[in-house]
Amino acid sequence: MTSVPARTEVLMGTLVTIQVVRPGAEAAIDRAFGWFREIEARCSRFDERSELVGLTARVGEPVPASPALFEAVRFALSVAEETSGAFDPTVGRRMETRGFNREHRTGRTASTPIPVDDDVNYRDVELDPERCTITCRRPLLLDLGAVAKGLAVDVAARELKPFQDFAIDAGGDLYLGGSNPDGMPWSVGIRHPRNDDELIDSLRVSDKAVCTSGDYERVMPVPRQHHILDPRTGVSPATVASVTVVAPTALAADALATAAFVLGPADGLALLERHGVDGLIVTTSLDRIETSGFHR
Amino acid sequence: MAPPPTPPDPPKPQYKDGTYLGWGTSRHGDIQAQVIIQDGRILSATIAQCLTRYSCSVIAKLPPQVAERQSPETDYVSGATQSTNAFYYAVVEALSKAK
Repeated sequence: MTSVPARTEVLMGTLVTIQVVRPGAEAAIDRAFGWFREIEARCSRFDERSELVGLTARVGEPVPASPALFEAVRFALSVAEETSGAFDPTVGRRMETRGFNREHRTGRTASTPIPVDDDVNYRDVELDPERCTITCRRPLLLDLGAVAKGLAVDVAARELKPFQDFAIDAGGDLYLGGSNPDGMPWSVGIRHPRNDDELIDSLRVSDKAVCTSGDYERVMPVPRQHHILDPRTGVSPATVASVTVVAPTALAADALATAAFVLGPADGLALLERHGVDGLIVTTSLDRIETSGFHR
Repeated sequence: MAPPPTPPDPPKPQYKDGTYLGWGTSRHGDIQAQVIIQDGRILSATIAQCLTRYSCSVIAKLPPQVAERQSPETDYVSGATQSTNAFYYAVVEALSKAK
């Protein structure tokens, strides 16, 4: 393979790498990284100065939101609605009380002083698309982890579209544009959910996002508990080890992978089929369930 | 969502040029990362030492290989790993020395 420069930065609690196959994309790559910083600054629940934290501090009043935050919340709520709360961005406070309160970059812990009712859910958040405002009807903490990174990948991808052939890797959340340096569709390995050393599958993709939600990331010290919660029960689902989704946008791929993970193999597969995206669900017993078009 | 006319936060050089090392830990063991800074930016972040119980063959593909690729078959890997987290923390430690 030819030598192609890639650039990496530490953003959104992970390593973000951008590779553009042809030269001359430096300014666009700068803008693409700038978007990651912008969306991180707006959507982080770990930074008390973030727009997201500022929003949740004002209960019961419509708060004007930036387009980035509004879009992230709007998409998260639409997936919550469609999965009847299996995916729910208001899970933030419960994540925090379970110890997912450390900002990766600084190691600083976040703790929200506001009391949050246990039965808070996505219906307590109201959007006004005309005024671009968000209202939290009750004290709550939004977790946009599953959508903010996807959104940043998509906006960065839009900056790089004129260069056609490029790759964005945000800690395993990928967008692959056009072809790789060999002129072939990009080859993407899917990490085996149980063996660090193995790939469970690999795909050839072009102009697609690939995101994987797994129970192996950021494992809790408590047995069988990890960083994905079923908002309806407050515990981690036990039937799925990982879900990989291939979709036109990383926003959709990331949110649908998380939602399918919570829904379990059968309902998760139905969700992916309904959205017309492809995916692979690996169960904890390592059975593979995939959509019909997964390897097309 | 409408794109803004200019990037909101123009990237400026964050780091001092040079080569830096840092350690990260996971439940599988430790990883040492080597980070090269050029013109204030991360040019490459690679694994310098791998003291994990498993080999680093999979995650070796995850850090961007600027001049060479570890695997001719796979360009990128979807799904983060514990070891990737160790690599991440190793890079963060290396970068703290570059400030």
